[in-house]
Amino acid sequence: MRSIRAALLAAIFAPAVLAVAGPAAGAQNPFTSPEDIQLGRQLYELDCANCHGGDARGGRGPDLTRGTFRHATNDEQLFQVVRFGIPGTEMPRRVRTDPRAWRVVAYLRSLGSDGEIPPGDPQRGREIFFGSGTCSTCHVVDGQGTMQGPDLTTIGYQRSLDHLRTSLLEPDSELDPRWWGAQVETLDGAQASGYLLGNDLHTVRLLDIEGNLLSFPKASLARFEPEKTSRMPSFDGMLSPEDIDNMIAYLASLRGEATQ
Amino acid sequence: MRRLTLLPCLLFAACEVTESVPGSADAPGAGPGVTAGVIGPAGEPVTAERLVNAAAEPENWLMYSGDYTSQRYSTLDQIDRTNVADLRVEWVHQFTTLSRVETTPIVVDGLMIITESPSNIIALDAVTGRPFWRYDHPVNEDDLRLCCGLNNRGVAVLGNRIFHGTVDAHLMALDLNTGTVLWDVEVARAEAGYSITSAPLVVGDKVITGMAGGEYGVRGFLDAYDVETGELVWRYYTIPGPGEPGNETWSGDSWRTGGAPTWVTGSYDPELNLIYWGTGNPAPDWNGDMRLGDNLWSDAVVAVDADTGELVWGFQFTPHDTHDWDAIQIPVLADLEVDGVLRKLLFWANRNAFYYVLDRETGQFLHGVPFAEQTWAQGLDPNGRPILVEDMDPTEDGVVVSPTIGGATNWNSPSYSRLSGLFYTYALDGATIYYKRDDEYVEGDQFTGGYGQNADDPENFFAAIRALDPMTGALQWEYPIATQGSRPGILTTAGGLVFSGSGDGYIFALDQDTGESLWYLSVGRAVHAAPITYSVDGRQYMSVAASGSLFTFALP
Ligand code: HEC
Ligand code: HEC
Repeated sequence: MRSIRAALLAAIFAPAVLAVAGPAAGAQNPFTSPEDIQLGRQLYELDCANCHGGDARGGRGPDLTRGTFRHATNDEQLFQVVRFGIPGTEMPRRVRTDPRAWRVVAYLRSLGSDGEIPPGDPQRGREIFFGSGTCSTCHVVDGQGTMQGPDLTTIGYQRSLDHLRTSLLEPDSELDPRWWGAQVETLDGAQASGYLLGNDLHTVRLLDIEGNLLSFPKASLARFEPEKTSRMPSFDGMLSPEDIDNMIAYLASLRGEATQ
Repeated sequence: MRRLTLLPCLLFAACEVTESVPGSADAPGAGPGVTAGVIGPAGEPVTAERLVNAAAEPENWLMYSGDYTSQRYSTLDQIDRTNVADLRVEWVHQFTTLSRVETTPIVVDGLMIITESPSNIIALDAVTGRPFWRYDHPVNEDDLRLCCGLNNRGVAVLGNRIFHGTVDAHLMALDLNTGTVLWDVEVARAEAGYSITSAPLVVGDKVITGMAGGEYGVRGFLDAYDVETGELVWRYYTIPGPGEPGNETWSGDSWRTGGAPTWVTGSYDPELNLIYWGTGNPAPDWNGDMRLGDNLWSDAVVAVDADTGELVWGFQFTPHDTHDWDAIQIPVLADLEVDGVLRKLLFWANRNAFYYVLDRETGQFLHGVPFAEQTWAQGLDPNGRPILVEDMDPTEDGVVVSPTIGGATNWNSPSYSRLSGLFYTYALDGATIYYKRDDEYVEGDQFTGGYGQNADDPENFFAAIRALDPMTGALQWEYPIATQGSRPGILTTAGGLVFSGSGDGYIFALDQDTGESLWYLSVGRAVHAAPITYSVDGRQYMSVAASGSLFTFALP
């Protein structure tokens, strides 16, 4: 029996590959010259920087400068991740040719640094998470909590410290459309609201707070207002700066590694 | 779908909802057949009780084979013989993959759950076909060992959870309304040849799953997991271990790598508390010298206690099979009179070309006759054991035998109509040249001991939907379909209809009594899935996947 966490771990460790033509296992990177690394950097900035940060220290995607990777232990596996993305995660398939992917790998390998250690006390952060901070009324960690927002079991691995801070202080910035809300009112005056699961030419679909799935023909709606704001309140001022640090230290420690 | 009046409420504030008078919520200007309302069972979750009585709520399709009897007979009768010709496409869902689609949808109160290759899930509004959420299962194809493609046939449901087996041999629970993964267990090691392509079966507080891998020298089993926690409650090995009765039917250590997988969903009798499940071929498939003996319980049906996983009885259709005739057909349960006594029966049209009637309390063989062309047996003895024709085992140079390697039928679902009293099955008359080769078991490699090749151009074979008298197996009528690429399941309804499809890309409806074609539509690619029916707000729908798309039909 594996917990959710262990399952995620397995998904993360499985080198995610599509069975598309690619180099043989254990292949060496044929593109490692300084010019290749320079080209790799340019490609990185075009295709990756918006998620992993201009300096690759992470953002919406993980820090790539730590020198070690969850999804790859060798260059071949790193190539697979860069070339094909990681199915089932936000990591997309962006690089279109093998040589390009190898050059990005060369660039990533040229980075390598120690991860930033957050200040703050993770243990204290954990107490707030499951206590006064009310975080666990919306989030799940290691199977504990309520699923009104994203599962945070591996958030420390997925996101940079800066991104975590932004999530806490300005939840509305860079909001993933998965978490947009909407209010609707039907022609006969009934109202509903919830997460916006679908919005197309003819229909609107919501998940309301009670977990009901709602489906409306647009022709039946008098009002439809998407809300591109997060349900998560800003904790700016609600938590002290120290507790924000403690919380970030806790979140950063959630890497899906055996902690219990 | 429950129609609801939604009271005014603030964004994300708990909205109170009350039932309205049925039919009153139709918003002016709504598109045809489109209604607003709450979808899915958030208010009234699917209980174990509802699963037992699934046949009593034909508006839903609550499990792979409709209900625990696996009759695939629906009491919905809005679409019938007089109006089926008017059936029209209501919506189409196109899958993102070009792989074959074998999914059977689950429908729960207007919410439809379908699966996609390799092991993805999509939740849709069953009225509009528009998606609520999808789950993409990450797989590393290098780790997979699949004989026959990246297939998945559907999910199971209980409460606010769905249960899902994956090609990398995991079983998972997901939230019905959001697709959030609640637990995920590794059922067996994919690299060692194990996979799951079938829909699980929920029984009480357990979720039962079979596994595939008969071409990889696995040791077959059936597993029960706790629906809440994902903990393994019991495992039943289809091949008995040393000291267990039946182990002596395997020479030497051959039981360890003897196959007998459980790769299609079984049935359940709540009164007897027995789970019925078919088992696949012994391994290696075509070289029986490496596993002398009957090879119990390969190519069999096993009746297993739902609480303990203990074998109560087994019946082997093809002892010591050397032709790859998996008995993974759907066990069809029905209660009918035999010599004036009502008996609990099991109907089974087998891949080996014989149709069987068993007593499902005891496993006693009652009757068996061929329903398709076969050359390997002179008949069945009083115990249902085949009386073999000599020299039909595969050889180095090849031996021509009927039925084919794919069988007289296969995993595709049959149906028993309580209205017509007939049993309907796909059937193929054809022949294969069977070859034997030496083989050696290497973990994760194919372990088949031979192969097969068409004995003739398949265009010269004959395939049909056959209607049989379920007690005698006598042919009532047949409706010819494409000999290649046909793996259609069958649905029967109280409208007097038989729905099915064909390898050349037709979906059709037949008259249950005569086999007359009453309606058909060319959908362009092979039907490798079973039709289902459901209703929302009193309107009956019929859905079936054909290769890359799922089509849903209703009357105008
Ligand atoms: C849309 C945002 C996004 C873009 C664009 C993106 N990534 Fe990612 N990337 C992610 C996320 C999120 C993850 C973490 C996935 C997970 O949940 O495991 C990730 C993971 C990775 C990993 C695995 C890290 C590890 O520790 O194993 C690598 C390597 C990577 N990305 C490289 C790249 C490269 C190179 C590019 C550009 C070609 C790129 N990414 C583009 C979001 C993105
Ligand atoms: C009322 C519900 C709610 C509460 C309370 C709440 N969150 Fe959130 N949180 C959300 C939602 C919804 C999202 C997703 C939308 C977004 O990114 O803002 C989210 C997003 C996040 C993210 C970003 C996740 C990602 O994938 O990048 C983090 C980190 C986070 N929350 C941490 C916390 C912490 C720590 C607390 C307590 C101090 C907390 N949340 C309290 C609802 C909540």
